[in-house]
Formats: sequence, C-alpha cells, structure tokens
Amino acid sequence: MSDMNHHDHSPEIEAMKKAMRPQVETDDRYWRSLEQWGKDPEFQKMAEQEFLSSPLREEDREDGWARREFLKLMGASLALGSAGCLRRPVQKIVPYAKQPEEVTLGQALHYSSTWFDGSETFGLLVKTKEGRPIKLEGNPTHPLSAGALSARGQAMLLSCYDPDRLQGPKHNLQRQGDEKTKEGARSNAETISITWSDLDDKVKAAVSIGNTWILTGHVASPTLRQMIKDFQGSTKAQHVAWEPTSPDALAKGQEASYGTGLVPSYRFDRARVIVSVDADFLGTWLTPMAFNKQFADGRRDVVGMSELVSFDTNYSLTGANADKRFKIKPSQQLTVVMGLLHEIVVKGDMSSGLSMNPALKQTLAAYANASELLGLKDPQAISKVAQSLMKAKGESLVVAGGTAAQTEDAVLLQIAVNALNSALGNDGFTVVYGQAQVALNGSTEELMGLMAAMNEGKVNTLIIHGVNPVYFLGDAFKKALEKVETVVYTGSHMDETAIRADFVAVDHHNVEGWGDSEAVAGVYSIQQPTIRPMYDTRSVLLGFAKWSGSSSSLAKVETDFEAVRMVWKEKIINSGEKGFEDLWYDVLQKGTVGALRSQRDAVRTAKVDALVGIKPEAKSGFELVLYPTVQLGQGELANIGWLQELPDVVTKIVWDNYASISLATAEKLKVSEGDKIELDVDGLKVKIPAHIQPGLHDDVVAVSIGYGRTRSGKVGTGIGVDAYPLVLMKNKAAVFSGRSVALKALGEKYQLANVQGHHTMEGRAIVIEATLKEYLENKSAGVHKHHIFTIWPHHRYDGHKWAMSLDLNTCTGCSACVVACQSENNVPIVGKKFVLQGREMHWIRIDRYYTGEPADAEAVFQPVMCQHCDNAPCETVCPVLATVHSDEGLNEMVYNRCVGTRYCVNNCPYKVRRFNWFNYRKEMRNPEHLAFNPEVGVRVRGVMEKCTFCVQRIKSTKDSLKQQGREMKDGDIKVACQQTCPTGAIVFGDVNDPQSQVHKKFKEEPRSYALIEEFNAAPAVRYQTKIRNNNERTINPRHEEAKKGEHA
Amino acid sequence: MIKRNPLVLGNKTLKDITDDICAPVERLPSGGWLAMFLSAKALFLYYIACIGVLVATGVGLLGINNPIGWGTMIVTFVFWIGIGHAGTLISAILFLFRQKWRTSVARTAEAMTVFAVMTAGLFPLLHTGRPWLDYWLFPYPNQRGPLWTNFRSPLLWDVFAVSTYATVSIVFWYIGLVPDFATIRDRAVNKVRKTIYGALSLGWRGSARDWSHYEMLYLLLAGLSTPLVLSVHTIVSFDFAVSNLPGWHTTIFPPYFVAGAIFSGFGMVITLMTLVRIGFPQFKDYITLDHMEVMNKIIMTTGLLVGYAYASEFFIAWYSGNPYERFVFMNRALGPYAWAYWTMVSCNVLSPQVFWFKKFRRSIPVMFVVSIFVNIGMWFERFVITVTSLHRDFLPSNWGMYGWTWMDSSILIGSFGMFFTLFLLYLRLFPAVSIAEVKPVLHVGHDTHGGHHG
Amino acid sequence: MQKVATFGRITTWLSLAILALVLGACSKFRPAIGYNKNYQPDQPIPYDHSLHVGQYGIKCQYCHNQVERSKHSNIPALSTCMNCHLQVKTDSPHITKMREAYEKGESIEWVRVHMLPDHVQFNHSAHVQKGVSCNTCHGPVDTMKTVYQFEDLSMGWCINCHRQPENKAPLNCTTCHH
Repeated sequence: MSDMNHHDHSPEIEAMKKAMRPQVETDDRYWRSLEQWGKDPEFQKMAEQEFLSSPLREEDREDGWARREFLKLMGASLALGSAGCLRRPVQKIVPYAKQPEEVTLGQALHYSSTWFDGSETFGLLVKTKEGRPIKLEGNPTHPLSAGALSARGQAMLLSCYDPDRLQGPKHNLQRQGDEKTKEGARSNAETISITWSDLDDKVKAAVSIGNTWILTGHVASPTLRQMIKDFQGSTKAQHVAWEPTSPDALAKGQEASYGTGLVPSYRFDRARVIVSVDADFLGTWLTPMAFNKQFADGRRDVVGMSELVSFDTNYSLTGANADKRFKIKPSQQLTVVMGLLHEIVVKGDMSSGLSMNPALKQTLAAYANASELLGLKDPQAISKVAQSLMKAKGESLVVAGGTAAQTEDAVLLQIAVNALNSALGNDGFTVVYGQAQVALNGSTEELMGLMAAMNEGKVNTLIIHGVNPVYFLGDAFKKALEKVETVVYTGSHMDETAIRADFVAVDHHNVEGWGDSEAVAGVYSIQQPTIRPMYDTRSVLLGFAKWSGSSSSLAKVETDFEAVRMVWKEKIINSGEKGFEDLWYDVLQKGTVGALRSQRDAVRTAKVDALVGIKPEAKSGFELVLYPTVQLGQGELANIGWLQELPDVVTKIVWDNYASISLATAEKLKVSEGDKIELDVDGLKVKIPAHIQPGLHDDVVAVSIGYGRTRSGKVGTGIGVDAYPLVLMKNKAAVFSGRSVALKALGEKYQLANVQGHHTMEGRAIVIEATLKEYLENKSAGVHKHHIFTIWPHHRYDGHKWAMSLDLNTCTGCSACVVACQSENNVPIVGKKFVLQGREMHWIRIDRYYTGEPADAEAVFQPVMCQHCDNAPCETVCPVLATVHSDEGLNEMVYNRCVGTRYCVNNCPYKVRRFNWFNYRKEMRNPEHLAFNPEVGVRVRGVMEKCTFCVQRIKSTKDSLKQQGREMKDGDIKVACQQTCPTGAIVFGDVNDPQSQVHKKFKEEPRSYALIEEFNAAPAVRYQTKIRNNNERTINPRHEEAKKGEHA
Repeated sequence: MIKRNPLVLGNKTLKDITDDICAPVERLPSGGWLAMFLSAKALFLYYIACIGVLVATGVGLLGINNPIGWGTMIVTFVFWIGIGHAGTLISAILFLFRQKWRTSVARTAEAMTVFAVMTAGLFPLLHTGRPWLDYWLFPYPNQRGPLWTNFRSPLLWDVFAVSTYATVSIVFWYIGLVPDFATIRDRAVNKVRKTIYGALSLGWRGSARDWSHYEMLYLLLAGLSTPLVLSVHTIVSFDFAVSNLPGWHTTIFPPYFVAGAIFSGFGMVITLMTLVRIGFPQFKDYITLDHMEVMNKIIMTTGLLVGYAYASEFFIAWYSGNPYERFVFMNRALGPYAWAYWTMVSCNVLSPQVFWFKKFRRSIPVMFVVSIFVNIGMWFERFVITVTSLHRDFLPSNWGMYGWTWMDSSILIGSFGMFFTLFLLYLRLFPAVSIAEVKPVLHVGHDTHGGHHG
Repeated sequence: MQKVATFGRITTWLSLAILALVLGACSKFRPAIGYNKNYQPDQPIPYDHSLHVGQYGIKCQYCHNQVERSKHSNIPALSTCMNCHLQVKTDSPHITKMREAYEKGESIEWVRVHMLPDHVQFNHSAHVQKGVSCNTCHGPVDTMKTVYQFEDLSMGWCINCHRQPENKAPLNCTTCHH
C-alpha cells in the first residue's frame, strides 16, 4: 500500500476509459475469413468425407460422424450462408505501458481511508479494481465506526462518478449584486472555465486586500485545520465553522454546566439504562453508526440487556427501537427532564453531582406531576423511568439533542440533562468529556456574526468550504453575499452557493485526494486517494497554501500528500525510537491512530442556576419539528440516486419529504395519505404532502430537511420540499423545533412512493417479540415450534452449507446494509415513478411493522432478503431451470438463462425476487457505470434477480484460500450487508462448520426461528426474536399459541 | 315414439342445403360483413402494433409488478383457452354420443376453438421478459451441455398441452372440412376458386373408399380429442394449483377450470351463433332455436357447477384452518378487489339462472345478453384467481395493487380484434355449416317420407 | 376432375414431406452460430507466438505472468516486451512502433480473441493451479503465427470437462454465472 501508488494510475485510467468507450466497429476481415473457412480445402475435404462416409461407420465409435453427417454439413453451409449475422463487437485490450507491481488484474485492492460526513468520522476500506474505487466499506480497525459505514457513507462513492460534477475551476464573470444573479438567470456563458494559476492569482489578490473570512463546515481534518490556521496567520482572516445542524446548543449547555464548551463523546455500551429526549442517536445524532454499535453491544447479551426509554416528538429511529417510547411535543422536552430531575433530586435525594442551589427544589416542585403535565397514560410513567435510572446509578445515560431538540430552550434542556447525568453520576463514564468530539465546534452565533459583517460590507473576500450556505440559509445569505467583493467556493457542483461565487475552486472528491480526520480527541484516521483525480480538480489544502502567501513550510507544499505528511509528522505521529517512515506506513496500513479512553473520569459537578425559576408552560396548537433523515442528512448528497431511493428508516417512503401528522390530526383535517397540506409558520407558507404517522403526538407536525434542492444536479434537483426556510434564527441560535404552525388541507392529491405495502402484521408470526420477563421464563418465548411432516428426504450437504442469521434484537433498521448491497451487487435505481408501481429493486429490504395501538404504535424491523430455501418454491416452477439449488445450499439465479416468466416470484412466499421490467442500465449516465462491481453481472431487461448471498465473495474467497492453500474458517467470508452492519445483527457462514457463529445461532440459540416456518420452505436464513426490555407489558401471554406473534 | 323437432327447418331439399351453405362462399361479401371485418381488422392491426411496442420496450408497460407477477396477459390467455373448449366438446364428445343436433353448430364452434386457441397461444409467449428466447421453453438439443427444460414446471406442461390441443383441433376441424371443400370445388365456376379449393380438398373424390376412410379417421380423431377437452384446462389449472400460493394451491382447480371452460365456451358459441343468424339469415333454418336452447341448458348447468366451485372454495378455506387461505378468500370477497369478485359471481352464477324459464331459453335477445355476461364474468374469474391471490400473500410488507395501464386494455381488447378477424374470414371462405353432416339429419323430425306436404 | 384430384394429392404429400424435413432439421440441427471458433483477427503488431513460444520456447507465464494469481490472464505490459526488445531486433518497424509507444507511456490496442458471453465468469488461476494446461483451451498456440480461437468455448464444451469425475470440478451454475 504505497503512498505513491496513485501516481501510477494514469495508464489504468486510460485503459479503463478506452474499455468503456462503446466499440461499434465490426471486424469485416473476420467475415472474409469466414468465407475462406468455407472455401478452405481442409473444410471442403471434411465436408466431402462426411457426405460420402457410409452409415456403416455409425457402428465404429471413432467419431460418430456418420450419424450426424447430413446435419453437420447443413450446419456448415448455413454458417456460410448467414455469415452476416455472425458480427460480433470487436473488443480491444489495452495493457499497461509499465506494469505497476501492486496491481493484479481482477484482484481487488483495499486501501485504508477515511470520510467525515460533517458530524461522524468513518474509517474506510476502499475496494479498488484496476485503479478505480468500486465499493466503500468500514475499516474494522477504526475505534469508533469499527467496520460500520452509514448508508450515506456507502453512497458517497457514487458522487465521485456523478456526471454533474464540476470538471475544473470556474470563474463567474457576473458581478455580485447584478440583477441577473437571481436563480437560473446565470448562463454557462457567464460561468467560464479558468486555469488554476489564474484563479490563484485572482484569489490571492483579493485576499491581500484583507477583510478575508473563511466559512467552513465542521473541520475534522487536523491538516486542514492547520492549513487554515497558517492561512489566518498570514492573512488575518477570520474562520467561522458552522453546519446547519451543528450541536452548538450541546456545547453551550456543557459550557453553562461545567465551564468547558466542548461536545463530549458518549458510551451507550456502558449504559444500563438510556433515556433519550429527542436525541436520535441511532439515526442522525452526532455519530449514529458508532452509537448503533455501542447500543447493540449493550444489548447483545439479552439477559443483561440495557433499557432504552425514548421521549419522541418526531417518530425517530431511536424511538422505534425504544423499549418504552413516549410521544411528546417539543414544548414538553424540558418538562420531561425537569420531571426526572424532580424524581431524582427531590424524591430520590441524589444531588451529590450538583452544585446545589436551594431554589432549585422549589422550581422542581412544579414538575412533581410531570406525567400529568405530559398527558401520559400512566401517571407513574416518569417516576418509573426515574426509578430505573436510579437503579442504574452511574451506569445510565440521559441524552437530549438533535434538531428536534433545537427549540428556543435548547440550552436550558442541555443544562437540565447535564444536571441529570451529574446527579446520577454518569458524567465521565457514559458521558466521556475527557475525549470530546473536537470537530463538532460549529457555531450559529459566529455565523450570525459573519453575516452581520457581510451585510455591513466588512467582508471583502469570503472563502466557503465544505458547506452550502445559500441552500441552508436562503435569501438572507444571498443578500449578504451580494455585499461581498470576492466569493471563493470549493464545492464540487454548480450548486446553490457555487452559482453565486466568483470563483469555484473545485475540490477533490474524498477518494481522489489526501486528507485526514480526528473523530474524537486523539483518534485520527488518514484519507488516501484511490483513483487519479478524474477531472481538473485540486485539494482545498493546496488552495489555502497557495492563497495565503505565507512563508511557512506548510504553505510551500506542492501536493496535498506533502501537507498531510507534514502535519502528521509534526502533530500526530510522535516518532520515537521507531522512525517516522515506519510509523507512517503502519498508519497507512491500519488507517487509524489512537484509541478510545477506557478509564472512568471523575463526575463533574453541574451548575444548575440557569434552571432556577423556570416553569412548566402549557403550549397549545401544532408545533413544528424539523429533522434530518438517515438517507439524506442535511441534504449535501441529494444528487445520489442510491440515497433518494433508500426508504426512510421509519416511514419507508422514497424520493420525497412530507409533513408527518398524527392519525387524529389527519382525521381532523380530513386528509388522507399524500394529500397536500399547507403549513403556515408565522406567515411563511409551505405546501407539502402529508404523511399519516402512527405513534405521533397529535400536536406535532414533523418535516424533514435536506430536500427541495434547487441546484443539486439532475437527480436531486426539485425532489421534495425545502424546509430550511422554516428554521428560525433567533437570539444567535437556529430554532428547528417547537415553532407553532397552522395547518390547512388543500384538497390536492399527491402520491408518496412507499416501498412497503402494508404496515401491520395482521396477527401473523412474522417478527416475533417477547418481553425480557417472558424471555427469562422461556428462552424461546413467542416462537411456535411447528411439527413439520415431509415425505421428502432433506438435501444432503457434504461440503459447505451457507446460511445467514439475523438477530432482530440488535438490528436497529439503520438501513446501511441496503445501500451496501446495492453498491456490491450493481442493483439499479428505478426512480419514484416505478417505485409507485411496486418495482423497487433492492435485494435486501427492511420491513417495518407497527404493533400495538395505532395512536402510540411501536415499531419492529426485519431485514428480508432471499431466504435461500432448501425446498425453494421458485426452483420447481421455473420452466427453463434458470434458478436451481447449489450443493452448498445456495439458491442460484442464472441471469443469462432466465426468459422472465416471473413464475418464481409468484411462487415465492417472501416475494424477495426482483424483475428487470426495463433496461435500467440505459437510464444511467456516464461515468456512473464506473461504480459497477465487475465481479457481478449487470442484468438486462426481462430477467429476474435477487440476493445471491454475495456468491462472488464466496467464490473469490475460496479461490484466494486455494492459492494460500489453507482451509476456510468462520469469518473468512463477509457478505456485503453483514460487513457494514454496525450492530452485528447479520451473521453469515457455513452452518456445517460446528465452530461457526451461524451454526451456534441455528443450533443453540433458543430465540431463533424461520420466517413462515410452517410453510416448510426450509430457509437458510433464520431470525432471532426481538426482546423488549419492558416488563410492564405482556406480549406472549402464557398458553397462547405463538401464532399471535403480534400483541393486541 | 315421441315426435322430435326437426333439426333442419323449411322443408329443404338436399340441393337447397348445398346452395344455402355454399352461398356465403360464392357470393360477394355483404356491406355488413365488410364493415365488421374492417373494424375487426383495424383492431387487429392496433393489437399487432401494441405487441410490437411491448416487445421493444419491455413487459414493464403492463400493470404487473412485485408482488403481482402475472396480469392481463395470463388472465386473457386462460380466458381464450377456456373459450376454446366448447368447440371440441360439441364436435368430438357430442359426436361420440351420437348427438345429431350437433351437426349444424359443430363446424363453427370448432372454428371458434381453433381461433381462440391461436389467440390464447400468443400470450404465454409474449408475457415473458425476453420473448425472443421463448424457444428455450421447448426441449431441443443444444450446445449448453446440453441444458434441458425443467419438466417439473407446470408452465412446461402447459407448453405441451396447449400445442397438442391446437394441433389436434386444427387437424380434426380440417378433416371435417375436406368433403365440403370438395363440394365447393365441384360447384366452382372460376378457375382460381377451383384450384384453391381443389388443393384444400386434398383430392377428395367422394368415392366410397374416400368416405369410409374419412369416417374412420373422423371417429378416431373424435376419440383422440375427447380427452384433450379435459386435459388442456386441467393442465392450465395446474399452473395455479401446483404452485403454493394461497388461493392458487387448490385441489378443486382441475374440474373447476374445465367446467368454467365449457361454460365460457358455450357462452361464446351463443354469442357467435346469434351473430351468424343475424348476418346470414338463411342459416336460421340450420341453427334453430332448438339448438340454442340446448346450449343454454348446458350454460345453466355448467354455471351452477362453477357456482358450486366458488362456494366450496370458501368452505375448504375455512375448513382447512390455514390462516393464509382464510385470509385470501376473505380478501377476495371483502378486500380491495371485492368489486371484481362480485362481478364474477353475478355474471357467472346469477345471470344464467334466467334459463330456468323456457321463454328466456328461446329468446335470442336474452340469451345474447346473458352470453355476453358469461364472457365478462369468466374473464373476471381468471382475474380474481390470478391477481387477488397474488396481491396479498404471506408477508404484509410486500402487499400491493395491480397497476392497470393503457397497455393492459390494448392487449385485452386487441385480442378480440385478432379473434374476430379470423372468425369473419372463416365465415366468408369456409362452409360455416357442415354440408356433409347436415344432409343425413335432414329428415330427423319429419315423418318418414319426408319431402313436401302439399 | 381427376386432374384436380391428383393435384390435390400431390400438394398433400409435398406439404407432408416439407413438414417432415423441417421437423427433422429442427430436432437434430445444432447451429454453431454465436460461437466464434476460428476467429482470427489481425493484431496491431503481428506478434508471432509460433516464433516466441514454438521456436524460442518462452513459457506462457513469462508474459502472461498473472495467470496464476488472477482470474484474468493479462496481456503483458509493454515493459515486459521491452525486457528483451530493448536489445533484440530493435530495428524492426513494429518494435520501433512499440518502443515509441512505450517511451510515451502509451499502450497498444490489441484485438481480443477469446471472448466469453456476458454473465460468464472464467477464472484462469483456478484452472492453472488445477494443472489444466493452456493448450487444453487455447490450442497449439506455439504453432500459431496469429492467434485464433481454437475451441468453440461453448457451455457444453466447458461442462464436458467439469463433468469428468476425475476433475472434481464444481457443477453449480454460480460456478460461472453470477
């Protein structure tokens, strides 16, 4: 894994591009040769001989010519006659000029790298083939993400091959403030290409005038930080870091409670009881993938599993996974925490962790009846939660945050939460302040400062990197921008901000350039390029170096590689007796440095003065909640089809955002699913389709941000409605949640594309649940043991028998696997129109069923892919043997044999087969196809496809093991979905190997069951029951046959 | 002995018969026929165009999706195959049972069979994702190892069943035509007609040898095609019954399908016969109200059989105690496709009940309307079986609805264009009633001397 | 009358004969269309295997050096050719052409001879390690002045080998198709 290798890629790229160029020429010489073949004496001789050979020769078995003589001759003549139809595409093979020693054709190379999505850092393993990245996977050595990679992380690859990417630096001839600067008015004629040197000169000139500001998103890269510092040093520029969803309330809360304004890191695996007030830590809050892993670690051992209580305004992924979920509205968040404080500090008298203020008790007294204030069914609800929190004293965790908690009282909420954690003694153990998330230092306050300065004309040059402020902030920022002399933007697309910038210094894509990232204090990972930059782009690191005009060694670097090395040499790798070089190569190999803090820090005493005197407020009317989605986040990656078509983790809707309202509200407004409604927020009106969401508070209207892009590219532009205008900038903070909103039904119909047809289990034993109590009494509670009688002998598997086990208790439905599968198996994107017709192509889907009362429904998740049945119903009915059973238990799908009768999918009880209704490949634009995995065929129109258990991975592993001459052992093969699963819910392996995990799951795990087992398709996929750590409820009353897996 | 109603009215002589039946072939077409033919042809051409588009772009143009993998194409296929049954039943089974009344309707009914099967045969070939590879459905020696077909797949049985049925009924029909072709040839005045019908009549000379061979062969073919009447639709029903989808996986399907087929077949025969009587008034004497009445009786009987099948399906679903079965049938009657189900029931079970009354059995308008209802009802029966079973099966997460498109409508309607184009051509070019068979039954119902009475 | 009758009989027999012929042909006839056996295109540089392999006895693996490690058998990089041709026969126009390309860091566009249909995965290394000799599939390359496709590379041809019990080769569809 040499650091220089990316310089060797040029011939590969050439070769690649050549190979990709459609070859239309046909080889006429070939036809000539064919005719000659006919005239060829050899052939003539043969033909005659055949023709004359006597039938007697049929006896002598020498070649059996006689028997087929007539036909062979006929064949020959026909072949001659129809030479014309023998045309074949002539393919060219372009070898390397100089053989790069690390490249073996057809052998994938993995490079360690890293990606920062604006909030979470992932360690990456970039899988490259012939010098082009084809798949991103999590790097197992990374302390936080530990092999997991979010859906967005997986899909980020596609943005490298995005046809809408800018291909070089651009210069806008239009002066700022011109009339025409309005959206769309600007034509390409006015946005011209420019050479890097010209751009640098112009920017440098602008910077030298002074009053330079830098606006960036969260900067996790130590090198970039250093660069910017260096830049500031020489230009006196001011740096503002800001993301629309930056957790500055969290930082401010920490500041107020403990005096240090850093966002701590959290340890959900250490917590026995977790209370989340709108912090969607499994979905979008701070570092969700890492949290998913930690959360699962805390629940993997069912007996000692942690308890998750969620107070949810929007129906979040966290709420869906909670053992107890309470629906609240934003104005009640504070009440919840104060209520808990009352129970713990006043009733439970645990105030050791607080700098106690006598007045606090009076304040808290008002929250004695929090449950009533919240209008919860159970008047003891809050105190019950408090009880379990206190039971888990020191090992519990209370979190609040995310945009849903970005109310006007966001900081107060944080202070209260800090008080709770300190009082419970969680601080320093589950709240790891010792290892803060240094990157998440975005500040809306500073942004406001910048915009003020811009409006006052105090900003001469503005350099924008890694954030798209015009999209996020809209007109306010547009106006401010017009007062800025020179705007430099480093984005990759001609997006909302780029079109208003004078210079677009196009940055490398993450897989094209060098970089690094600091996930949490002291945990570093390095970003390696894995492909020669596809276009005339340049790392932003060099940009700052060139523009600063500083004389520092850092500013003198010629490549981003040097810059990173330099910073790492000075700051990160302290080369001791072992030289830097060795360590450096180790780092490149491993990809990460540093580890998570293991020891427990002292509990900090939390100041609570800010809380004194606040009163429970009874707010009435609808309240708005704005939230980022798992698939699109803040909306930067809106132009990636994989993400647009990734079903929302809870609603399962694709290609749209919508206003979620409760059933009662829908009833009241007389709207049904998809009807357009109008939100009126302080006079600002937004038309948006309504989605009726079970388990939502009646006063809540939840809308997701990240949609309604106006300039994201062909895919993302105009998808959904932009909700950012609904964000209120108030006293130096962004208010995403709790604004009062008026609703009006418009009577307009609109269709929301939902990939799931029906949302309850109709009393069928599909996702089997049990409470922890029931589990402790009966390890296989809820699982009905069917007495299956068959007259057929079972298949015999002498070698391997591939099987998969899915633990529904740890699966959180995060959907990373869906995109991983799509990327690994070249699964096409079909678009909203066809999803509406029920033609989505995902090989693995995550079914979400609602259980219980619709008004406060709970949710369960179940990943479903081809079950590779031993008695596969699809196999018997295919008339052409296009789907058959392998001797290793795989249900094989042979694309090139399939004629597409679709009988197999009709006969499949799981309906996991996907049919190519059209030639989806044709819909793709170059160079998107470079993201294809060459080991998996791209399916044509009219053939069936489905999950193959990543048979290509099984094969390649077998081959490489054969070469190494060693036996296969469990874990050698990791299928795509399993590889990226943060919770380890998916286990794949050889069930014939008694050492394998999957064998244990199948044979020993009492929770394990097969889907529709009584059907006796004998699937090779088994699920483990979901356990709810909530003993107040009964899911499987005794003596009731487990068919009713679903509770009333 | 009871006096039987005459099978041929209007005190015909043998010559009259020949003249009457050959007339349409020898006359120039009437304006009415021309109008009907041209409209049918236009529809047929549109049908061809649609199929072209379908093959060029993909079956995605139809409303099928996941979970509903089969739609209009298969529904209409089963519909037409069903239509086909009456013909063979009348010409073969009734022949073996020596039912004299069959003679005047057999020819046309059989023509209907042939054309219906031709129309139907296209669908299974066209509904595949890659129609140009359909030949893989046939077991033929190849260079793939060789790679054979899957003989366990009902779809393959279908291929054999339908192709056999098509071949046999065409041959049977053609053999019956030979003597009549000869008649036309002999009457022919112009050269062209003489040559063509001469060729068609395969050198028939009407010698005693010819006749004895002919009758022997006809008997044999009748015996051969009789089991086919039962086998074809039995095997078509296997497409569903052998799968294991609730609502398909039912043992009652074979008899149920055959009954339904005969039901729908006779429905179509009535529709066509009424039209023939209108189009060619002289045929009223051969296709008499008595013929129509007998067929109406059959419609009523088979209608009741079908109704019984519907009922017993529900009973079995309940009796089996299989929750999925139960759900599927409740969903049929009460689910989103209830309208289709009740259309089916009212058309197939209720409407034929009017035939309890002789008055209606013998009323042309009534029987025409009912026969149309029967056709509609039987199409919906196949729709209900195929689509409503598929659209809600085991896992609620992948339930869905059929997305009917303009292409579905075009394919359905267009297929009628194809059928009627062929049928109308037949009426003009072939003797629509078997001359050779009617003549022997001329005297049935007349007193022994026959002939004229003052 | 009689004439017409015989005419009719003739047509009958004729049609029957044609039918029989067609059926017979369809049932037995195995078209070799689509299999590019004997395909022998011109190459940009007339590299002569019979000379290099046959005469000088250079091992296949010397140039196709990745065939043991990779599923693909690589066309040698120009650097490989240059190993010898920096000294050998440097004056030949073809070698000059190649050297120029090499020095410019460019490559040569060879025409592909052996091409399997889409959705067919063939792994060279697996076969080579099994000890399958190159000639088994590629024929007597050491005698070919210009390389041509020796076998038809049809599925039946592959299966033939895989079916031999002594080869212990897998017969699953996904062995080659995925």
